[in-house]
Amino acid sequence: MRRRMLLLAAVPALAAALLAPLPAQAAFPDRPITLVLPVSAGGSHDLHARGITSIIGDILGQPMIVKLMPGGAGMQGTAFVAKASPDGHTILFTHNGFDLLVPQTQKVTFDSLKGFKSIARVNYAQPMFITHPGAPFKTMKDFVAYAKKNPGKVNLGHSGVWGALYTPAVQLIKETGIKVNLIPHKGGGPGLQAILAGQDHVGGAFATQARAHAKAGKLIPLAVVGDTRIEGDPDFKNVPTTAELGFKSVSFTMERIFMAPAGVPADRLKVLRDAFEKLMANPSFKAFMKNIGEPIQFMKGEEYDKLRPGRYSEYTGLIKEMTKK
Amino acid sequence: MFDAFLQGFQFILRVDTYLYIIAGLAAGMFVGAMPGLTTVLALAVLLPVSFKVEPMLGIPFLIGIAKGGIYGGSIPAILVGIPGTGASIATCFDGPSLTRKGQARKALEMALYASVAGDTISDIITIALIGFFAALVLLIGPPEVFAIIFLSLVLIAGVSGESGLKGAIAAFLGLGLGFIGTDATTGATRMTFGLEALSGGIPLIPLIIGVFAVPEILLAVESKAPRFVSGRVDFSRAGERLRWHEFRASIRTILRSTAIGTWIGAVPGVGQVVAAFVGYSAAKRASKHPETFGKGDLDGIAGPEAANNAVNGPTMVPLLTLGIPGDNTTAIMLGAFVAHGMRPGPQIFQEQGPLLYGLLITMVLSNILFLAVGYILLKPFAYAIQMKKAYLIPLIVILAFVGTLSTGDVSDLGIMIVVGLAAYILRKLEFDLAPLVIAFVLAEPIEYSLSQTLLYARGSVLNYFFVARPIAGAFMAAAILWIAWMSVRGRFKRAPRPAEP
Repeated sequence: MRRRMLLLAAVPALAAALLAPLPAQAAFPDRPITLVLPVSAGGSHDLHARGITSIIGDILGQPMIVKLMPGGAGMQGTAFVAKASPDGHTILFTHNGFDLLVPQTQKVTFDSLKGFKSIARVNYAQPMFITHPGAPFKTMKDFVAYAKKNPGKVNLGHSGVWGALYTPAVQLIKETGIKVNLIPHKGGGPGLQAILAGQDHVGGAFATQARAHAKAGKLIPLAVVGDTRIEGDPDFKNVPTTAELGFKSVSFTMERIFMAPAGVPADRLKVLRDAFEKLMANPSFKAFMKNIGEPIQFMKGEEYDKLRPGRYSEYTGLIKEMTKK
Repeated sequence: MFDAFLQGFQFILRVDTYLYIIAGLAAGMFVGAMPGLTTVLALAVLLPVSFKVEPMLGIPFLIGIAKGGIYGGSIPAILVGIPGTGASIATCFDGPSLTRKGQARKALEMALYASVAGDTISDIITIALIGFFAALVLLIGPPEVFAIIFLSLVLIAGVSGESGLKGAIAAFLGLGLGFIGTDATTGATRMTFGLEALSGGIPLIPLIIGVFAVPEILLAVESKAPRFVSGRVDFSRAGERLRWHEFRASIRTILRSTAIGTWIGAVPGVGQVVAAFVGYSAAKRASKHPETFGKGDLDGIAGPEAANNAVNGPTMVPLLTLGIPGDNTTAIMLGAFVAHGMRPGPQIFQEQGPLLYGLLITMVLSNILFLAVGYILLKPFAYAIQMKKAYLIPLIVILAFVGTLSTGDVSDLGIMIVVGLAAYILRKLEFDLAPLVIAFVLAEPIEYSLSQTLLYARGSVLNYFFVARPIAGAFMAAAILWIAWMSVRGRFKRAPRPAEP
């Protein structure tokens, strides 16, 4: 009886000991790095993060631990990292929408541009506009023409306001002046389901989720967002890009990026940047990415930092345009 | 298809698969039993294990965690009235009363048997009707989800509380709390009173710990009794075991709840919490002695526990047939598939049929291990609850704080304490807080599915419900008829039996 009690008491004590921070030392990293994801479990960011953290620990010499902080349209986790001690032990895995767009649509406690520095861009995903075989159009041009003739009749599903599928949709609305019925869904999965069920006429999806259904003929890709077709993809190489079709401003692609609070000392930031660069050449990482069907399109943190101010002001214009009455 | 099913048996004769399931079950039960550590968190943390081993080991491992987690959550719910996971909230109605009567072990065993039975039967139904469930998923959209949640609410309403008015107040409080944060359909922040801690909404874990654990701790400190279990119990043993006649009396409840859970599991976006509540309500309504519910009725354990586990089987269907996970648990399992280059979807039964059937058959067989692992683990818990409160309460306090902090946000601790003190006061005023929690849990899905429905309806709501979406219309009609029946039945009953004491 008594032994069992002691054992039970030992569990929380052990937990407390594990949670307590160790004293700081000169070497970096000297304790596990927390990787904050401002998204919920099970999405593509979560999956990337699980694969990356299971490998990068060997490169850094310290484990990297995923912490999911969904909520507040990604802003809760982002604010958490912005306010975290800038010692390099707390970093963020996010995308350009949460990084530069959403903070402009609500009140936030941090400065997106000045508050963060990039560690690396791993890859980007081009959303596709998709439809189902029962819809009254089969191409992107026909869809736009149909929507112009029938204002408000087309159900256009997306994965959440200012999300990766909403933004290209509003870019299209802004450029073509069409009126559609924008339907929010709780993430890409339910959005895809609404297309397969024939409830939405047009929706968005990434290649990895759309592939099996496109092969089975249950959905029709209309256009790939961006100015290049999906590189080396046997199933979607014939899908035209929005740029080819003349929708020049429909350009939002989701870039998966690792960020650190701007106050992280330069030497520590370099350690992190170097670790990610090494990761990209790691055979187990390459195998993992191949298995999950995602490309590696690495960009150094320094280079990505140069792109951020331009994106920021581009989104400012888009938001102003879309929210004006 | 039947060929693939038979070939699936070649995958199930592997000892290592079962070792992984046992590890998963034990991990799931442990995590489930800790308030604050959720099954989803455990799945996410342990997912990389499945990257390193083949799918026939990694996926059963994750399935074990999910199955074990739901049962694990019922352990603290029964013993101290603190649900370990959202799925076991309804188990708090009768669990602690049974514990006070010294029947903790009976209740834990009932929870285990009901969970295993619910899981096994729903798994078998899933395998037999996988094509039907797959077709059903595409018929269920936002209006159907809204109608089903609405019907569930109607069925749940009025069951838990004694006072209708106090129950309604609690439910509205819960709705209000659920609306705090970011409006999911527009992205706007609302009702946060300018507090940044609330901008993401109130997370479920600090709320559950606040509502259930804090009042239990304070009430336990107040009462002079030295133990949670009343004094007349033999402490030398782990308590009385469940008798066959007691289990037999609950078989009908278990079967009913299994059917409820299986149906709710087939609808993406409703989930275990609702299933457990509906299972409990149905058990109480069908009972010959509804007055004993809430005062320690074993049927009140069997009802929710069979229902929440029965959700497991059908939730695998959209994942396997469409590659679209219906909840967080299956979203993480998707990761275990794709990390091996297998993407579930329309073709997977042609490409990987035997393996998939192997997995599904393993799901059924793993329930035998579920029974064994659960049986071994429940004894130490049944012993532990007999300890003096002087030892147990500090332990519970620590678990409550560590559990809340497991979300990683210190402001959650503040939410837990504020909610906890408010809950304590409400408990003193004899408010039943179950309607608050169920309303809180359902606030978001009901608002979301309703606003989606209104967008689809483009202004003609009645026409949309009853003409364009007949399934949704049928559920709405059922809910309205039920309300009508309940209000009329009361009058019928009161009139002919005035002499009753």
